[in-house]
Amino acid sequence: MSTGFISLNIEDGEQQTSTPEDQNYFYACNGKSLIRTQKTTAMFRQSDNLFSSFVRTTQRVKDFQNVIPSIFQRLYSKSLNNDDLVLKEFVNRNPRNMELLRIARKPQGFSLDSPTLNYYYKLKFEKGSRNLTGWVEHNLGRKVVVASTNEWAIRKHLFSSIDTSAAENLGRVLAHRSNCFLKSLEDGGVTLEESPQIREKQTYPTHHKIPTMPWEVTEEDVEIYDAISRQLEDKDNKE
Amino acid sequence: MSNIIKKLRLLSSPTTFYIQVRNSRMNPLVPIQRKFIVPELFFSLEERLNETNERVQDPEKYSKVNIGFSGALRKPRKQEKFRTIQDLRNNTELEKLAHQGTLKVDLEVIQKEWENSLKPYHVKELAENYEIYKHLFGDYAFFYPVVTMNILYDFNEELMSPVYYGNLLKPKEVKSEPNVQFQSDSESLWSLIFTSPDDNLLEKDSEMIHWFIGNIPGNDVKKGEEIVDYMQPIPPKGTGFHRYCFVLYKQNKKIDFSRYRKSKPLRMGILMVLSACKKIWVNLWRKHLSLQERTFNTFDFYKEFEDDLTPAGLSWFQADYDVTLINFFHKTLHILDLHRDPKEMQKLILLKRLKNVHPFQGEKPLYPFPQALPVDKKWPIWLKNEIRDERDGKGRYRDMYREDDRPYIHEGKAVINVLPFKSLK
Repeated sequence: MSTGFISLNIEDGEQQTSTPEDQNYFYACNGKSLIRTQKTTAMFRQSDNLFSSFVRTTQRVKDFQNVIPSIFQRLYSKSLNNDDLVLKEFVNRNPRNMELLRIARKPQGFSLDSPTLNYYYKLKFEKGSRNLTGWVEHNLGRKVVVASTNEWAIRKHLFSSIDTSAAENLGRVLAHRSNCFLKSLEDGGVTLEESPQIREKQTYPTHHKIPTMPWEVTEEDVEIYDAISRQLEDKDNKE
Repeated sequence: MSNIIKKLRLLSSPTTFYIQVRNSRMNPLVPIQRKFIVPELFFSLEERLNETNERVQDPEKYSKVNIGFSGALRKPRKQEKFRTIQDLRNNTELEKLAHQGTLKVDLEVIQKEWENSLKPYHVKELAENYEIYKHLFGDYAFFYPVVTMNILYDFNEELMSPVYYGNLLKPKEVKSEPNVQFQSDSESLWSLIFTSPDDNLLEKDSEMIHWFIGNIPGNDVKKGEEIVDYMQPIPPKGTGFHRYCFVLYKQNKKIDFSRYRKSKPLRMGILMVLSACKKIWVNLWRKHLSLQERTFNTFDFYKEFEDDLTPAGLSWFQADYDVTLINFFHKTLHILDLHRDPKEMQKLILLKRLKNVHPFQGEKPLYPFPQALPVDKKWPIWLKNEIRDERDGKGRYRDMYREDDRPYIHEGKAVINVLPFKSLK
């Protein structure tokens, strides 16, 4: 029973491994996680009798860990080096991470105000009596990218600081600066739309439609999708 | 809830709490653990008042300090300004273009002038947005990045990926060392550090250093001492975007950084001899690529060399996970995954599905109560659960069935979404 526990896989005993190093390991499923073990059976023979008795009783994996941790840990393979160690809970301190993943909350309590704060970043424009300014603002109030005809570098090249040509050129300067600051892969320019926030309930496994998350899609998948769609379009055009 | 929450220290990192909840429906005796993170907001009135009083009495204690150079704005004098504006107003050609709407300003000229005047202020604001000063130098330090660095990675023979101030890159673009350029005298010494405050997976509140070059004479980065070899960024899957910062320091004199030196691998000539003894090579290579040796703290580093170093330049980018990292983790770092590749698993499940689906007859109808058949008692629990998931089409077996034609899924847990019963067609 003990050897059967270790070597059973979802398919009939065959493993389809990706790297040549994986051939030295068994992969066994544990309900929620896969256990990767080395093929040396010496360590299992030591715990053969004890473990078989455990498996026949109905206990979950976590109970194993609490009751006899030393035997349970022998099932996991020896790591090749100490760099396998990782914090249990890793916290990404990047404050812009959640916005990039579209998980961050947009402030939604200001629906009675106008304008509302239901955004991550917003493009704003102010027309003063002597100067024009344009900036990109966060919902907390921080100005991320700023450009104004106040600045001497811009004012030098303009006829007047308030007219339409000044506004046009201000826009170009602001786009150039925000590109340099936040050059993203998706769009070469600056778009005026913001995608909606991803809600938690959409990601539940019982939901009848699980949308694809943006971080699960790789560039290769996008290329393949584009190539296939192009082929289909060509076929339609030919017909 | 109030019984479980303990009193927190001031300025501590957020803690996680575990609460036991009884689920009365299924198993009243088995507690379910729910975990959530609580920020450091539960201070008592006394503590809060003490802090506000301190700030009022001793404002210098809580004010921020500029540890770099002053971003001196070189403004033109008022008379010069006035004259140039008068000239512009009198320029009839400009007036024509402005009225027609065809006045197009040269953006590159403007950028050069902006770099000399207002750029350090704008970049400092951006860096505070990304909390770079906070995580590198602490709560009370900042600097104006007076020196602009042009950093370019060679992606292809044709393409280059630059590093600006927070742009998004992928690890495959950033594998090898970049080309760093900045303006300086031939006599001054600089040191370049490439760190990431988010990449350290083992220690909280510390960074991982990817590249360190010290005692750079003038412009030439290649003539400087390579104290830590370049290692590509390693953002793991699921954590999102990590920040990677280049910090340029100006040195007063030549500094001995031997404390931070990492052991290098042997050269290629000696490698050929030792290629037979693979183990030795692997161990030596691994020494300079060990991640635990690369933990770094710019706060402590700057404290040590405070008198001789001043930060002068800053630029950063953000990187996400990439498929090319799998090979890097497995083969060079020798860190293997605990789980199989999800694409492999999807392939296996697809093959399973194709066994049951006939190409011409289509899919078979589904029976309404798939769990009615018993599962063999001899199997262990984890295997029984797998078989039950397969029958229900749950979890990784979700792709065994098409969107709407799947068996009824019933979960007796805390109910969030309960599907209606689906009948056979």
